[in-house]
Amino acid sequence: MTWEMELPAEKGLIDPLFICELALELHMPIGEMCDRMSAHELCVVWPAYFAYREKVREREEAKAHG
Amino acid sequence: MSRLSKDALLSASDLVEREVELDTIGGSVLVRSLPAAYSNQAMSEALEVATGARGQQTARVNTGKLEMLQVMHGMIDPKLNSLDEVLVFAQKCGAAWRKVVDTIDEISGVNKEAMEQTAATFQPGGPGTPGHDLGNGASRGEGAD
Repeated sequence: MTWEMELPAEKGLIDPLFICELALELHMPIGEMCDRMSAHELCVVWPAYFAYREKVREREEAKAHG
Repeated sequence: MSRLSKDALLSASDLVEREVELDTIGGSVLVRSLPAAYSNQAMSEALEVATGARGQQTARVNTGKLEMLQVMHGMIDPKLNSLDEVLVFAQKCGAAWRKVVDTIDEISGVNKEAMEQTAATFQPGGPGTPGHDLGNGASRGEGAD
């Protein structure tokens, strides 16, 4: 059995895996996180920051390997 | 601009609110930008799972349910407390409904344009290296996607 996820990247929907990763990172239950954030912060700002951080990590890794 | 008192600071909110005039039903409502609780509920309630011919599971978004959740979380005066109440409003007031949903969308900053603007503020080059042209005088250079 395979899964196909078709989530629109708008309308304030969040990737269910990402919300769990963010909760782990912030050391906060998902419920508390959702009480304290706006949808903009959860669905736009944090994913953009994670993508940026990943690019920086890849760049540093590439630099380290010559 | 005056300095805020502690009481003023603690009672302040930077959530965006907007009064929406509903000409078709003669009155106005107050809406606000969506809280993250909406996203969490939308993820669990507006996703519908279907099984395809080859047995594959597909999760699709029920956009009607999504809009109902938007109104339940985004309209604050009057406040509709259940999806049943929201459904009554949706079924009886077409133009007013659309205006409320569109305004919540507009002030919530979760559309494609807001995502592109936010992504542009994070420069992929990392600290000390050039990134995207932000259109505000910031530099542009190698490494930008």
